[in-house]
Amino acid sequence: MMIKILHLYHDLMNLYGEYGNLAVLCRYLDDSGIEFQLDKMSVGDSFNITDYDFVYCGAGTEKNQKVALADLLSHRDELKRYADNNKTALFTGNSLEMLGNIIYDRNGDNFEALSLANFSAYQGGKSYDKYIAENPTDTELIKNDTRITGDVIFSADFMEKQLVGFVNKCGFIKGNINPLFKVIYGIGNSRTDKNDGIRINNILGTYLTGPILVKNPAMLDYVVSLITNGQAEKQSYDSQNRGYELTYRELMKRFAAD
Amino acid sequence: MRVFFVILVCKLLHFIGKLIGKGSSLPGKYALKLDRNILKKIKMPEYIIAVTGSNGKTSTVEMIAHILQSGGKTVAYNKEGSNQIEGVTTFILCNSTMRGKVKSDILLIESDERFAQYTFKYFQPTHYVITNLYRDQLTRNGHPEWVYDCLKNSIYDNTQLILNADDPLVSCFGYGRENVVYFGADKLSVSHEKNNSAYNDGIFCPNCKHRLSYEYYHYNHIGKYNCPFCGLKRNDTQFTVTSADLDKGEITINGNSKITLALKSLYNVYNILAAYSVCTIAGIKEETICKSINNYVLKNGRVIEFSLGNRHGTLITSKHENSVSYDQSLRLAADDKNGCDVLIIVDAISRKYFTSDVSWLWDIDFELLASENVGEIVLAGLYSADLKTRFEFTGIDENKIKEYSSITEAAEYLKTNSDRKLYVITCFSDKGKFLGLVREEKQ
Repeated sequence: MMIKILHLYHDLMNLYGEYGNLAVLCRYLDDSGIEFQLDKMSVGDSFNITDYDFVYCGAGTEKNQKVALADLLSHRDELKRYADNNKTALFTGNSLEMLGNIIYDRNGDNFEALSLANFSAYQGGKSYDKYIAENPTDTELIKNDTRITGDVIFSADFMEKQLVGFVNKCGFIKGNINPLFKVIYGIGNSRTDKNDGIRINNILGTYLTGPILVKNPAMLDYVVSLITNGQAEKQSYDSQNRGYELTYRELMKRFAAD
Repeated sequence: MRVFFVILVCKLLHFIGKLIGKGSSLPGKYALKLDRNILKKIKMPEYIIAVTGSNGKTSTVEMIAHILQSGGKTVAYNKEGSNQIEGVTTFILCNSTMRGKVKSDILLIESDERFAQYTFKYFQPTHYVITNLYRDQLTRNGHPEWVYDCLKNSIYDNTQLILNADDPLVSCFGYGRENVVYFGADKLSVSHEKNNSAYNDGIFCPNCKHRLSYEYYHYNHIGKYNCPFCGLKRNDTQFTVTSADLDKGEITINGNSKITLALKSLYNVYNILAAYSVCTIAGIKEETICKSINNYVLKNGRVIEFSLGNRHGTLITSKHENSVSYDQSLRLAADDKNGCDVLIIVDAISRKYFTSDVSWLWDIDFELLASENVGEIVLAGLYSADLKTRFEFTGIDENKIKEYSSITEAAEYLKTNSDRKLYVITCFSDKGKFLGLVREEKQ
């Protein structure tokens, strides 16, 4: 088996430590005896998404996200076909916003997105004015322009262990969303939505930011089994497991006290 | 509300606070409650110098104060470190006469980069130093471009900006603006053609997001760049490090001012350069500056010498959640030709707020410790397992790495296993836990 991995916008959508996700994934495949190839692509590079078995894109600044989106729009049909064929991708942090119909930014500008699913992203500031104008009764979302950051615990029906992580974003998504995770503690897709992320077949999107596959060995197992159709021998890494257990314990302690 | 009364309340609260050991932001908080506009009513001195940026604020402010005082000026500054509006209000009112006039020749303010916009609504600095914008405490700050937007709201037309020309994002503050002074470093022996850090925030132009082109890097994305698309470029500098010999610990500014370094890192050199620039502008003679800053050891306790068993050690306070700060500390150890061991502690991520996020470990260039100068590496603290995972990807031989979740056990081990020089790299939040186990050497 040969697994082809595409790291999209590795030098642009790299808010912090996202390459760690690919590092632990490649180690896992290597230790399972599975051959792989990792291609890093960025704006202006030539690639075809359907050539790959796994596609990853991390979080970026709001400006970088728009640059990545403009480039990714030319690959829209490839990504659509990729999703229809049940192939696996992971979009973390605000990169998941690119999967919707449109992104409204805080300066009042609109950005057409990939329309793989039927939702919109609102990034604070003037986008909130617009949202409230269209949804005058939904006042729960009128909060000021501050950044939304915080530790979270999520769960998924496809995983026994809960997930730990961190969210660092400046807005919310609203629409017809098939969510990926349930929020146990912390912030979800919006202030009132107790779900996180989006799932389109095996395209997984979550607001979790950074090296989420490093922090969550169970999520790494899950992604590997999707990519390899369950063919990979299960791996376990002591320090990674201990890191997860510690953070889970620390967060549970903290959230229980709140 | 009479100014007199507000100042009186602030001074009294500060006095009582000092007696009972309370923080310095509370008196200002009450003063602002009594009169939101109190800072507008204070008669300010001719020079109001503000310093902000991700890294080096406290050190730069301490050096500026030291130089100005050596030059015969009286200076009021927030040495207690409270750098948001409440803390700034406290120190300004406490340094004013009862009639509301600042008593010193120069007001010097360390300002938090996100909250400067609230402070400078009430008065504006005459000179505003911006040191750098790095990935720093992203769990609180979002990201550097977010901080940039916050900081931009604190800049007014009547202020002279004093900017780090070598940081592309900082230099954007001066794009298309007059009344800007730049400082920076020429190509040095330590400059390199490639950015070898764990990430590169200098790939895309912060102004137009096309690709930047670099002639050389000093460290991380600090260097000489230009944008072929929008024209953003590393500006010519009025204050320039023209040569630096970090092994010897000597730099030259503007070709003639020689300064000997107590802390031989390039990172520290930028703080010195920023202080040199603004003090020259404030009328201090170059000879006076060099004399006062020669071999200057910072009093803020960022670098502490100690002994542990037969070992001599240096603790370098680095900022958790700040990879540039860590990289600089790691480089000091990696470059020590006499050989060393290294202890890294991550126990509490912050002393100010709770987070369990360790993503930032992946932005740190721990690969630097693959240097032949480094012997053993000990990882300690509550998050030692996360450190261990990160080190599994550095390519460093795992036999060189030891892990202890207990800082005490790590220190016990290090006390007897060797007499090599020890570098300890950790944060404000954790350094006390280690220093309680060793003997500090007074300088």
